[in-house]
Amino acid sequence: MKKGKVRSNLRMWAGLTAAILAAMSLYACSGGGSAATTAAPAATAGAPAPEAQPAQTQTAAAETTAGAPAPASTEAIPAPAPAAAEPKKLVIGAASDIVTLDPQNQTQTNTQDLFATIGAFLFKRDLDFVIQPDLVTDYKQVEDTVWEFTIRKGVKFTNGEDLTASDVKFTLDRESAPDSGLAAWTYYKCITGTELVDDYTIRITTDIPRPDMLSLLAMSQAVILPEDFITANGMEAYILAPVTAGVYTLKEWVPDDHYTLIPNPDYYGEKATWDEVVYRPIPESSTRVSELLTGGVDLIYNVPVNEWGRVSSNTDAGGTSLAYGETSRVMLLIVRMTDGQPLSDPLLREAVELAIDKTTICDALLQGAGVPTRTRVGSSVPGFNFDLFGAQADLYNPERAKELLAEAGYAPGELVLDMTASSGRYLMDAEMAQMIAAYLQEVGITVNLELVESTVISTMFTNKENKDLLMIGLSDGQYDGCYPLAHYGDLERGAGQTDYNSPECQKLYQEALVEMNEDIKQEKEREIQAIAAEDRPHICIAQINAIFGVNNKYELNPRMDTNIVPDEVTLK
Amino acid sequence: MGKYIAKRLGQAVVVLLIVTAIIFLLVNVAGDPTANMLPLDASEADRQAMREAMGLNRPLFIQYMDFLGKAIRGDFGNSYRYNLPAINLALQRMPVSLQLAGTALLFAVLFAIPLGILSAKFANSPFDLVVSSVSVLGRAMPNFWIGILLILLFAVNWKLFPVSGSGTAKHLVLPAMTLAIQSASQIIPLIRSNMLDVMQEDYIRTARSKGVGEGVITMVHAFKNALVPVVTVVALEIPGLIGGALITETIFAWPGLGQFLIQAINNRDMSVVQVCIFMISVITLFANLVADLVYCLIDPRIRY
Repeated sequence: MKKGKVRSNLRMWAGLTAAILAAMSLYACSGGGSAATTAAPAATAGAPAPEAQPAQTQTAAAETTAGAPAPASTEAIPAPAPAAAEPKKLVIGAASDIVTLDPQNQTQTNTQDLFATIGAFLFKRDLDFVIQPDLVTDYKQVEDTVWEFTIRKGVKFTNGEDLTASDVKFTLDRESAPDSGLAAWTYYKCITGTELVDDYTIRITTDIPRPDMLSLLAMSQAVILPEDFITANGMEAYILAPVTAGVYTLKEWVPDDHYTLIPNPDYYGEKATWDEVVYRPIPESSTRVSELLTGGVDLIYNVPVNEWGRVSSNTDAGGTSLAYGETSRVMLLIVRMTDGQPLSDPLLREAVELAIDKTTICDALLQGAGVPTRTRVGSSVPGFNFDLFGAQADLYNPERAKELLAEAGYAPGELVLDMTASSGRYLMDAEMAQMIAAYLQEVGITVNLELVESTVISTMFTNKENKDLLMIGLSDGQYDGCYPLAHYGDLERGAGQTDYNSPECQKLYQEALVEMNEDIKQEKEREIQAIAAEDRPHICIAQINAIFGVNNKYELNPRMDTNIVPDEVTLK
Repeated sequence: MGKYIAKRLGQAVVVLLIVTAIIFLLVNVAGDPTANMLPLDASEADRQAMREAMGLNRPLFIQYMDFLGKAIRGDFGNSYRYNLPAINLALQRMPVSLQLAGTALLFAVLFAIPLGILSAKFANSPFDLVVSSVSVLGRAMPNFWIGILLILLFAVNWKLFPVSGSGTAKHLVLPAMTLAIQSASQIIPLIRSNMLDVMQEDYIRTARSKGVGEGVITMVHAFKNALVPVVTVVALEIPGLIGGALITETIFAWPGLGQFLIQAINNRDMSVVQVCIFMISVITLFANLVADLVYCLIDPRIRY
């Protein structure tokens, strides 16, 4: 009896153990292991593979790359002596993964990084952020609303097809279609028509004169799509395995794990610097820093202030350091100046700005990773007003703020403002909001500060649910002065949010929007900034820097759009 | 038994219908997906145009019926972000989540069973005190703290394991240990207290009086009977480990369902949130059913 029970128990345990082991083996062999995932790009780039097509697409892409001295074809090439040299590999740790392989349906920095590297554009921005021709060999403005572009011949997509003006037309038509449902439409809706002049020349018509046309064409959403491939296989096939014409090509994407780039052997320009570039999304900042310190990655984005010491003092893996990059992101307070609200009084808005010590926020809190500003426009954006930037943008004067409060009829503590800010969305945002609230308290303004989760702040912003003050960081996706100034010049933008209504700004904005003379355009943009700085629908605090962590073996000069372009990273 | 299983499966369908309705409502009231898809300062007209293009301007009930009709056919719609079928994107991440959950559960059970039994066997001894204290500590420590601590110790300082990512067995150790510490901390006291209860039973005394060895009494008579509540806890841990490892997967950049879900929530990618929660619900229901069936194996007196 006893032995029988023992046997029964043994059987049960043996069964359970076998089941667990079988399950473990299944997990390991199921393709869930990254080894299997990386070995099968077709499965990883979108496991769905609903039809046979995407799988064929992936093969086609692989065949294209195999024709070159890329890893897949090294066996077929007679090995030259230096082949034994270690391949030059760059590993970059990003805060988040790319969101899609549809370049026209995204506005995210990491996805822009990818397309800036694998795509061909009519124009590109160089390291100094100056717009340079990429595919374009010649261009002219035929009429105020018509541009003509001639593109270079002999450029090939990674599937071997020629890149022609027809592909440019297809690209722009897709993202300017009113029913496209694409994120890029908000930028390209101004394009009302495209017309082929010949195989390598295209005319683009806009609704109104667009002086910012070149900057639009240099955005990551304007990467040229292969018309024939997409027409034949559908956009889903492209999303599974993009056919591009940039300096690198996408070897594989394992969502949430990594994507790998290898040189495009048919690239028309200067050859790629790296044999392989790997981007790894590592959302948790302390993990990202640990990866940098241990040499798991060579560069990382977004080093939080509390980790700066760890990065700067590290000597492991060759040592690491910080790299500061200017951005167009401005931390600002959105002011509800609607009639009947307390901050509709300009004296109170001025008191708020004068109460805030921007220099201390930048120096002590941001430890130099920010510059005081009074304008929403980034300092490297054309049309920027330099008079509103730096030390002169800090108007800190608590005594005058108290006087203004009294002039507006408020006793100390009588004015109560509701303020909302995010926690964890921007560099030291919660701490910055708390400092601002403390400065306001100091001059006699009571602040009810509410800190909300990162995504809540964007919902409050877009739904115009802001209370008296809402702190947010706004950047410029187009790097053209008119883009960030739309709030002051377009009545609809401010309606329900700041309710700012300045006929003067609106007039200047409408003029700047269609002004083809760049100098005059920028002068008008500077005027708008000066007016808005005095009217204060936004109380700008600081333009913040991007902070990168870099292994000391590498040299990184950060760009204003915070993109890391692999060929702009060099070995020391 | 067959009738019981059929009845449970029928109930599961009803539960899933209710779950889909709740998910749909919650996701829709959570916010507007265009908030994160368009640039932050895109105009209201642009947002409205995008909502229309995505069908988000239709009445909620119509959207739900549309969703349900397609979901029954296994079509949960396309991810707004990836522009690919949401179900395929979620299934793609399932194997890595299963890999992590399976390993974590294995670690947890392998630690918890001997420690729980020994703790009961040597109740109130210094050994018991240490095990009980450690399990209380394990439950009290938040996952993110354990994860970061393990990274600093085993990856940064001692360089024994990679900091994050996936791809090799070494990558699996730290995230699995993070999850296992919490799971084991739940299971150890349960085994201990059940074992102590069972050891007081008459049949244990009878077995002792018949001269049965302590090892046989502990493993055959006592542990088997102490196992029923443990099976329930372990079964409930499974869905939590697969779909609920949000923090651990994020800390270790583990490309599983948990991290995918948290990103989808942040991006308001409704289709993805719906399909992820749906899959976790199915796993929960399935794990509960399996637990009920395992009871019968452990204790033949239990019959449905």
